[in-house]
Amino acid sequence: MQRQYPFFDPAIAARLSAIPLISRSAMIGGVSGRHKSPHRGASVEFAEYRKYVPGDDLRRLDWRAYGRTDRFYVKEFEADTNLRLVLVVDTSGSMNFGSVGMSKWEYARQLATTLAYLAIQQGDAAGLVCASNSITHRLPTRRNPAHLAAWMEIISAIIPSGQTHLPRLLHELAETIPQRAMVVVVSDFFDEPRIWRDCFEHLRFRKHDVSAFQLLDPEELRFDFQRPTRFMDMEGNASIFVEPSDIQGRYQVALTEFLEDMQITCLETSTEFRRVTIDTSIEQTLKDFLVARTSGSSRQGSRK
Amino acid sequence: MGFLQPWILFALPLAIIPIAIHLANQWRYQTKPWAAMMFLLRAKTMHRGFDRLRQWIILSLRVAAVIGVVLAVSRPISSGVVAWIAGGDLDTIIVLMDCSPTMSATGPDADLSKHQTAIKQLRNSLSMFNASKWVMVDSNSLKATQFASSQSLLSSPAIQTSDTPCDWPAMLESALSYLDIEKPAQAHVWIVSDLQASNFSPSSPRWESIRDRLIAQRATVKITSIEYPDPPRSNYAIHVTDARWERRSNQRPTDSRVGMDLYLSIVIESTLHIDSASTIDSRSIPVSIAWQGNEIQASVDVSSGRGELKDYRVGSLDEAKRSLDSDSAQESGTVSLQTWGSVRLPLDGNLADNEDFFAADLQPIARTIVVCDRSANVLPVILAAESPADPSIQSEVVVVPPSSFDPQSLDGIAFLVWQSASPDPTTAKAIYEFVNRGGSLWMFPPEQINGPSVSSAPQIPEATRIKLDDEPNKLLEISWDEWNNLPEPISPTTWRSDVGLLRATQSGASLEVGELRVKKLATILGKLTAVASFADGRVLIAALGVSSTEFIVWATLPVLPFSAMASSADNQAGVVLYVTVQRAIESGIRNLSSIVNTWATAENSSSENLRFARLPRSQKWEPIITTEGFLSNQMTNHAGVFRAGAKIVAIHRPRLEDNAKMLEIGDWNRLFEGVAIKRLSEQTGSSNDLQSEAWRGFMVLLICAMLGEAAMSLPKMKQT
Repeated sequence: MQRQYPFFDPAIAARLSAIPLISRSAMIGGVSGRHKSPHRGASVEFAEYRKYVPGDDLRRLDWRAYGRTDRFYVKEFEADTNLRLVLVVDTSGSMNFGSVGMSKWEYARQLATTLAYLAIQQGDAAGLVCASNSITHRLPTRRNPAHLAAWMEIISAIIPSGQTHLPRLLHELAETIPQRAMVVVVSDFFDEPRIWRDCFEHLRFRKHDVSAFQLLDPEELRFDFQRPTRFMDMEGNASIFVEPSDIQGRYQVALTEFLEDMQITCLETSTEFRRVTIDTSIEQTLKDFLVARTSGSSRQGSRK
Repeated sequence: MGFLQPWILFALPLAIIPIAIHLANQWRYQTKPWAAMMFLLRAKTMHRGFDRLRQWIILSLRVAAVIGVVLAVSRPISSGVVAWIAGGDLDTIIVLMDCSPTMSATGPDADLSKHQTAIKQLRNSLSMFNASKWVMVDSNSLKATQFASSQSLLSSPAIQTSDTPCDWPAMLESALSYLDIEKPAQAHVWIVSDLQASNFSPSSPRWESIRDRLIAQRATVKITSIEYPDPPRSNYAIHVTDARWERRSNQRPTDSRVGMDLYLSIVIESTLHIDSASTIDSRSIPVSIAWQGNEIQASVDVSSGRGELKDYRVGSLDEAKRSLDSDSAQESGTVSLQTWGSVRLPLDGNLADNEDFFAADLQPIARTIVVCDRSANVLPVILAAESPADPSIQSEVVVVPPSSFDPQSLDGIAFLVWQSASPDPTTAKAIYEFVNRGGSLWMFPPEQINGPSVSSAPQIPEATRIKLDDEPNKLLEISWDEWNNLPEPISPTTWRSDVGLLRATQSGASLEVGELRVKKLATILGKLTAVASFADGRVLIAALGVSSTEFIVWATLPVLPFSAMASSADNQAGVVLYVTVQRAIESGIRNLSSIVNTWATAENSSSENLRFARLPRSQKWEPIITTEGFLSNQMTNHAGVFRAGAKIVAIHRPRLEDNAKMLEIGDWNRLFEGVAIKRLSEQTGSSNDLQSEAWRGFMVLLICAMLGEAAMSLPKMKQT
């Protein structure tokens, strides 16, 4: 009997599988797939004419072109390949926060698993990197459907804790992942935007297609507490005692500044940025993400 | 600071409730694991300056609100605040009380009158003070009277309302005189008034000195004005303008008691200000006339706030006799032409002006004695005296030479004309008595003057001298210097047209005194006051006092060649002579009458009331018809009919008192410019005490604190 995982809804996955996961830039995969490749291949999609050079396969000569121009041209076609989807999920202590019956980690886990399922379903390879200060879980990219079982087992065993070292990990991934992969980062990004800028620029430099899901809890946005509260840091031992009504205004100012900076950072680094409050349904979040890519007009970033 | 309910101050510790709630709230904090710590830390670093103080300010405002509630409920008195500011207990408290009839007016929705409300409020407020001296200046006596306590002050009969108008300048002068004499270390003056404009006499020149004296007392005297300015309800006042016997036309004057009818003239006026009165609809008001035990009902049509009942026949002397015969309770034998009664209106907004009184008797004959060397010298005066202006007055003129003059014949004489040398001492004494009784005396110079007679005039022994209004005997000192023939006729240039013999007529027209042409002039010698004088300072007419009409001395004769007073070419001069003669007769005849009509006035009022001054004060007064509840020495303050010896005195409420027009705010500011006065505007019939003002102040504090707290507690606008 197949094991059921609460963070994966097959029905949602089935509905979303109708929408292909398209990369915004050319990918380099191991096998043929539905994504563009930087190389020429044998697909049916015409790419260009090229002058014949000795050694070219004569079967690819375009005789009609020779008849018209009395010159030899070789007809080239686009190559299709699969992609390597690397999902980087923040598992620091702050991801444990949630006020809507679900923590940010649970939301991230569901989002990453569904996305990985969709990728593997369409023949792409999916890998997982979960990072906190102490433990890093890595699952290499595979396109085997059985790979999902290992995925499920690993991700269900993870308990977020400690401080985040996601920026350091992203720099490391930028160097270790082969070029032209699709990197999706799922986190609350509660750190200085300039740090994330460096990470994203590094990933883009390696020609990765980078997407960032920022998960926020509605309570973090509203900050509408009534009673005096001692706030305990979920990534450390620090605590702070405040009268919420006194500090609410300035909290909102700081939060707004941060969100705006994050948005600008992602825009300037061609990173697709999606801010998600965790009371939004997973299906809706992923549908928006997939449809935007299908139409080729992503909200953030540009196609290179 | 004084409080009416000081035990409530024990609740002041409740002011720590906001602090306790704040601390409890802090103690009851919740613990919350939080992911977005970086924003909290960032917000904390922005928490500076006013934002740090904000919660403490809010806490302070909450504490202030609780304190405001407690203090307001404990009913602080504003006077207590004044005393507190003044520092310690007061030495003297002076209450200036308006006891005029308008203070009896009730408020629009109250049963209590202004006066009763004031007494009630003062009773509560003054009890909070520990003053060593309690002084009251009431409008009845205008005197500063000292009391042992506030209770005795407020229970004094002198504080009761009367029919006497309130003379505020005189009351303030009386209070200031007391302060000047006693020099208290700290005094508090309470002015209780209804702000009636006529009581304040805002045009009086006395205000300037009063204001200066009040400003000079500023350091030691605090002044509080308790005012009841609310207009009365619909209110009418009644006045008797005339009461007289008149003989029926078919009766011959053979018997003075036959065929006589009593006629009354009554005026009813709305006491509201004329602008308000003009809007009142026409209506008929019933009037009840009480006369000789009978109650006669009449009605007066009132339109635009005024109605008049002219020459209403009340009854005849015969009816009065029958009424008396049927009423055994009446004193027998009192039926005479001396009669009295009262008129009354139905109940309205002010009971004090619903009644007036009248008294009537036959007009005495206007008898004139002319003592002269030659009747031709004073012929115009004789002719004027024989022709009274009022046709109801009978006149008789007797001309006698000085040698035939009998001093005993001055009884019943209204007017004495003396045109001869100074009288001998015996005659002078009789003339003194005549003038002292209120008779009018004119003295003209003799035709032949033998020089000043001062030194040669016999002196009256001191013991036999008669005081004439506290003035020295002047009659024997009066003489004339020799006649001076003037090259050109001259006319007087200066005379008093406001009071006295040469005053303007009732219509306001001035007498043409300047038309008098004098050709021969004898200088008057004696200590008299000039009434009319020429440009060079010589005197034409002198009098005992500037307002006197009884004792007049002329410097010329009213005939040619001395003057052209009565010549046909000088009609205006003749009018002046005729009017002055009639005034002299009127003045003399008024005092011959057994009826005295006067108005209620304060005992030492500075206002002139000559008729009243002639009343026989030395005799015991007996009230005949009047209101009850006042002391015998306050009779002159109350309207009514009194018997004073052989005379009947009808005291009326002054008509000026019935004009309820309020003092304009501009007038108040002008009268008390520079004077620090705390004004408390109270409502008639209010059950609140005077401290309500302070109560309101603390309520304002409470509201301000709550509004401030609410404003500071509002969440800031969300930034978009």
